[in-house]
Amino acid sequence: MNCWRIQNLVAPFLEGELPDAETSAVADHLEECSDCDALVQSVAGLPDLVPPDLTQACAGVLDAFDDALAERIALSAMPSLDVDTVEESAAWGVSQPAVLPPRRAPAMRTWALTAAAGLLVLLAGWSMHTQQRIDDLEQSLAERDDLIRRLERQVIAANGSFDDALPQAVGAESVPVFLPAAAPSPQTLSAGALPAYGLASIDRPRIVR
Amino acid sequence: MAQATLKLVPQPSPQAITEDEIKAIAARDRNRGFDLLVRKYRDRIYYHALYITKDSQEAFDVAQDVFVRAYHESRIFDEGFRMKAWLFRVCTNRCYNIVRDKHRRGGILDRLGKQNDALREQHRAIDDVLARELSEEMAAAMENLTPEHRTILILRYYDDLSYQEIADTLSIKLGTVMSRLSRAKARLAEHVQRPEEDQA
Repeated sequence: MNCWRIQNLVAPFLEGELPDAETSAVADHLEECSDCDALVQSVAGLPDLVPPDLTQACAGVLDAFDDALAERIALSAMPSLDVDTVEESAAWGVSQPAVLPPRRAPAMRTWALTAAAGLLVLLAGWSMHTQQRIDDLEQSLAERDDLIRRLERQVIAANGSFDDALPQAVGAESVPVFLPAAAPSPQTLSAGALPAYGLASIDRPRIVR
Repeated sequence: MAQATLKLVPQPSPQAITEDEIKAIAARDRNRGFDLLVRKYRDRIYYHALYITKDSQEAFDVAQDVFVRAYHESRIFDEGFRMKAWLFRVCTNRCYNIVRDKHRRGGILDRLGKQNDALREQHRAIDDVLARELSEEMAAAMENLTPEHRTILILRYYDDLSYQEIADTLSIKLGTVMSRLSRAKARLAEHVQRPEEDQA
């Protein structure tokens, strides 16, 4: 048992709150250490700490306590207690109002509506643009078909036979460049198959005139 | 024909009823159990708040707050739940938060308008008595201690809590209760023996 330990055990030693073994150890130390003995004597010499006598003065207030408490409990159980913030609610220790005003909800809703409207506008624009491209393509296809038919008629009128005359009648610069590599060459086509080929198999209506 | 004799059974005082008895009653009727809990600890909690805040109105509000919390505390009547330590713990914490929240709470009080003039006068009278009592030598010397030391002296000597109850209330170990109490009393002895230094 050292002096530091004694300083931490003065109160329980004087109040008989220590186990017997520790009480004996403290007593043994006090017989040998005058400093610790002086400390214990000074604490033991303190007058008793007695609570202020407030019984009579507080009687009236305590009589009003139960009614006030019942009122407080009833208020605390109401979901719409008149407090401004959740913090105030917590400061009073009452239950947080079950339904809080949706302060952020309008802003969120506005943002969501704006975003949805913007998305709709973009979709409509994209749709119109796509439709315009489709129209252009169809017009281009129609022009291509007209040109092919005109050329066919000219070749057939001049030579009587499309197969023999085509290489001479159609110049290199007027051959459609959009023909795919795998497509049959004009030389291999029969006259009867040509219209079907011209209308159904060409998907890139780029004409080099 | 034998007549039934009326037997008057003395009712135990609210302070004498034990926590286990309150819990047993609360198991059958929670409101009745809560009523007994308030009757048993109401005065002590109010006085404890009064010792710390030194303001009757504040102490009244704190004590009310403590029991409102107790009412909403679902574990309060559970087996093994230390009601007394819990009440003192909530009360002590509220008391030390009260200064920080004083302005805000005052505003709420005004809005709720719960105080009538008669009660306000009674609070003033209590404050006067308390001020006289606290001017006594020992109480005045306690004012020179740190809140930590003052609190443990109040819990031990004013509220008459056991060492274990103090440990539960302050959430500290039993050994810490002993050492803190010893240091607090040693500091108090210094202030009592040399009061002129405090005044200087």
